[in-house]
Amino acid sequence: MSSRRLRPTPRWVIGIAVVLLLVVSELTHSGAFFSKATLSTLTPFVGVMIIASLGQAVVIGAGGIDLSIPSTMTFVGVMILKLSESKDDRLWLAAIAAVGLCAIVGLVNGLLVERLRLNPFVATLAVGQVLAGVARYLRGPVPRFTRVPALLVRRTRWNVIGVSVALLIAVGLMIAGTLIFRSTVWGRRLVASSASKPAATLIGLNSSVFRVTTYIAAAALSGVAAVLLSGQLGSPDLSLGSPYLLATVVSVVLSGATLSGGRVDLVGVALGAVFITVLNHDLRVQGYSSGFAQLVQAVVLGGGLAMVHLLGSRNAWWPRLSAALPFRFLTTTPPSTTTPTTK
Amino acid sequence: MNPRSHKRSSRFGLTTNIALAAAFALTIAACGSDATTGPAATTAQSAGTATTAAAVNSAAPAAGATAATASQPASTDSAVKVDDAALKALINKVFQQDMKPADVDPLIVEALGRATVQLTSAQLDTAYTCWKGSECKIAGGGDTTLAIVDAFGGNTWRRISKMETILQALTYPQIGRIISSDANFDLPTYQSQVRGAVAQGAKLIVGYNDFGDAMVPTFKDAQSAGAFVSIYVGPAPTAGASAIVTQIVTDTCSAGKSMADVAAKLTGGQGKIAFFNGTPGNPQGAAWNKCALDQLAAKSPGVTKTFAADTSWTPAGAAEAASALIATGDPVKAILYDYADPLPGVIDTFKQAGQKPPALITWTMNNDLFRVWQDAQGTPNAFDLYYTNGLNWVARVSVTAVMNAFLGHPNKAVVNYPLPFVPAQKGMYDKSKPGDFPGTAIVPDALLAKMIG
Repeated sequence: MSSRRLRPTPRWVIGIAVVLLLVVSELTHSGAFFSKATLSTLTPFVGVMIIASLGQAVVIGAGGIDLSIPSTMTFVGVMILKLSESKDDRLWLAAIAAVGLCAIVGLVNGLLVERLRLNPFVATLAVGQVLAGVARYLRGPVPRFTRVPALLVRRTRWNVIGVSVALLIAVGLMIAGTLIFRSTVWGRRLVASSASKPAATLIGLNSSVFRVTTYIAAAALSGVAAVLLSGQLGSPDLSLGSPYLLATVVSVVLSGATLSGGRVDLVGVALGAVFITVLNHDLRVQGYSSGFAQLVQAVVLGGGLAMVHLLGSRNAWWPRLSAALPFRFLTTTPPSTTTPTTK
Repeated sequence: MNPRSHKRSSRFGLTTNIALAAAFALTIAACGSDATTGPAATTAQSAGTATTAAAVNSAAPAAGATAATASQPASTDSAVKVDDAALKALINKVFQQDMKPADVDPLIVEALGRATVQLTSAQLDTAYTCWKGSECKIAGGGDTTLAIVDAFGGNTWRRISKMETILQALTYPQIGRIISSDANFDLPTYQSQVRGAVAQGAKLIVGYNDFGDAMVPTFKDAQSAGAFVSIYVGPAPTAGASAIVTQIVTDTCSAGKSMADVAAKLTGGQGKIAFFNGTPGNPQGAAWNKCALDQLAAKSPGVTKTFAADTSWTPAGAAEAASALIATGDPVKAILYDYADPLPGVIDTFKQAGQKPPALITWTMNNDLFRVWQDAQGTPNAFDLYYTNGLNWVARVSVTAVMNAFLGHPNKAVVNYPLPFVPAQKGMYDKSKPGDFPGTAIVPDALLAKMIG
């Protein structure tokens, strides 16, 4: 191991924050946090948050943002109800169709941003509004079916010693995403197109196509998250996706990503999603209102961005601070990994 | 300056701006809004089977319940002949227990009396047309316009309530036109829709007000312009008769005390309980929470509240609250809540955690909750369930209130409806109805079949 001064990275910071939060959770839960009962009901929400955040991260890495994620998730919940008619044998058709439609939504988002040059905030917000209207229309005034098929409920509530299948799928997607971005030609081209469009164009890549792909991926991941959440809740309603607007952005910010695009660390995003979900859970356990939880989320978002700024400019202040310390750190390499490099 | 560092600093500048905007928005949201969303705010309420008054709306007219209503075009006489037995059966149905008409406010009795009137199939067709659209004319009706202004109309509970309003309006021959609007939880939109209703000539304005006192000035303007306003279920506590001719609401404090009494009974006067609420800071929750705690302290000090959580009245919010409750490790014996719809998810969460669900004491009713309760009976996961009626029928009382005002009859500024908590019984689940259908709705089955999409 090389002897180098400590270089704190966002993943390093969020990783420690998550560990500390879990320790605090265990202490404040009277030792019940890691019990099967708690994990089996908490980890599904952690898994869903990770998956939705991974989608947001891919888009943010390409310099965009997807504000249609909540509406997309709600739309999928409605489609599952509508297409499955609460019947097990129609579940797969409904789930595949719903996620497929999500991909189309992502394509529309991508084309609006990349081809028509619309601001991603405005374009995805508009698409989200359209989807919300469509979802409300499809659900109907008095819906006949309000329960998802029992098969979906059974599958999504399956767990291994309390760890939900949703979390396992989320971890799988995170690993797969990381490998794709790091180790495949397509992934590297996507990273290059996300990091710098002009540079990608100069080396012969059709960067717009790759950037559109990020919106498709985000929408598809939102669809997967919505299917899992629908099964977990049993009765998805028109508020299904509401909690996933800013929370997904916060998760990405906590990973050290900047909202103007550039490097995105999927492992860090997952840790950020864990942090924000467990924090909300802890606040509920302690009896704080969801309004207070929102306030904390705002503070975390601000703190996360401040951290990104501080770590981004650490070359200016860390050497002096480190030199002033009465001891030296031994540490490993600075950030590398995963997706796009800086713009 | 290093160009790279310049680019980086500008990027962080943008990022910081976005962060500040987002953090500001979150902070504002966290500080709460004025919305006092009622129990029917988010998804829908639901069903039950209470069949005691089924005959009232069956195909054959109830004996003696002949109507002198919309079949008599443009009549100025709005009186109807009401069959006492049918009325008694309907009162029992809407309150889900045996209740004498004398125990209920006369306005409620009057409104429910009109609700026993049999409408013709042509009238039911008209009702469906009115319900589907935002404006309709009633053939043979008078020249008075009724406006249904709903702060939110997007769930089953609100849609059924709209139909209740229309059906009640059809019993008044003076009403010849019905217009309706849905503000989708947006206060400025709701205010403009009320003003728009007045501009369109509405003399009668009825609706579920989610915004509490924030709507009082607008309602006052509407009444100053000659309209009569009545709201139901969601209160505007500071509004006087100059703003709202009659509010049809429940005594929230009494409801909280009743919940405490039921909790004391179910726990045997000893044990821990939890409170689930809706949106953070909503006045309804604050009121029943306080009164329930006061009642427990006075009468059942052995019963203690150890946990409270907001749910925003959503399935996800309720499931997360249940997860947090489980994580506390406190073995609560009962959950007190003011909305039944998300409770099936709460039961599912306890099952998922491998724990026996606690007793549930809830406002409103839900067909799917009855299914979950019924399925659990006779198993280790059996739990007690106390609920109230679905409250959609209260919309009818608002129609009667504005019509009485319109006809110059004296009105009370506030009419309280009782909210008794009753135990669930086998047979409450109605397989033929949607999961979130409110069982105490007074909508004929044939019409309901058309409404379900």
